Amino acid sequence: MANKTTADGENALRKLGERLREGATNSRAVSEKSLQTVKDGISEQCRQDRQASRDKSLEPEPSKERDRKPPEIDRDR
Amino acid sequence: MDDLIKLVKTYRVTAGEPERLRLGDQVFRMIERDLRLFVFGLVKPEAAEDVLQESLKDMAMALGTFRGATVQQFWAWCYRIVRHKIGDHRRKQASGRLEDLPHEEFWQLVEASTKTTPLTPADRHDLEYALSLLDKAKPECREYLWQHFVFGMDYAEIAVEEKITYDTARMRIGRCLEEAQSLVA
Repeated sequence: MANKTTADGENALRKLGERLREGATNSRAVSEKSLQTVKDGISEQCRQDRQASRDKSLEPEPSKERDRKPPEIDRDR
Repeated sequence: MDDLIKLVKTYRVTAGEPERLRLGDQVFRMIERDLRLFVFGLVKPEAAEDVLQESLKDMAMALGTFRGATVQQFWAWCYRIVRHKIGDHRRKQASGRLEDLPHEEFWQLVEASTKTTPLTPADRHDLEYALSLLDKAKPECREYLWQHFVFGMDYAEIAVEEKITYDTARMRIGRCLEEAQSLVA
């Protein structure tokens, strides 16, 4: 292994990455467990988004709150 | 790879759950194997599956918030989430040290790669050399070499993650490679 340059090292490591990814693509099916985890995550996020949207619609609109005038004081009294 | 970023961008502008589930399934079918490999190279096998599943869930929940425009940015975003999960996992462990690389599994993948790309003796020699560099590197260095050279994360991404400058990342990774090479020679 002597007389290896830095470029040799870089090249060997990059080659390893390419080989491992190619091997994984050729030999492995995508895990069903992983796909189920993804499905659960997306559904959970959709639920949270719907809940946030519902909560928002129940809040009083800030602009209406701002525009509401205070009750007038009856100065003649 | 163009398909991947198109799917991610479509997901971003899609609101309905059934459509999001369909798109999400397609996106993760394209990236799961690489992410699995990335995690299994850095976390011991008995914990790696949990780290991977937690990462996938976080990614799935946050996919609609990804704002990048390129596939490189998308991969950087994915690896960032996985790295955070690995960091969380390490903090929970009494020992944060890296385990031995799963050589047998790696060679099985290399063997599988020969279905599409023949392996010359020179290639095999290079792969043996690469594995010996990773074996000999210090834990911190192995992570750098794994991320930068094996998985193609660029210096800028690593610098952001490590909260160091671009030049510091570049120099550290260069030093790590030189050190590992001196130990293998």
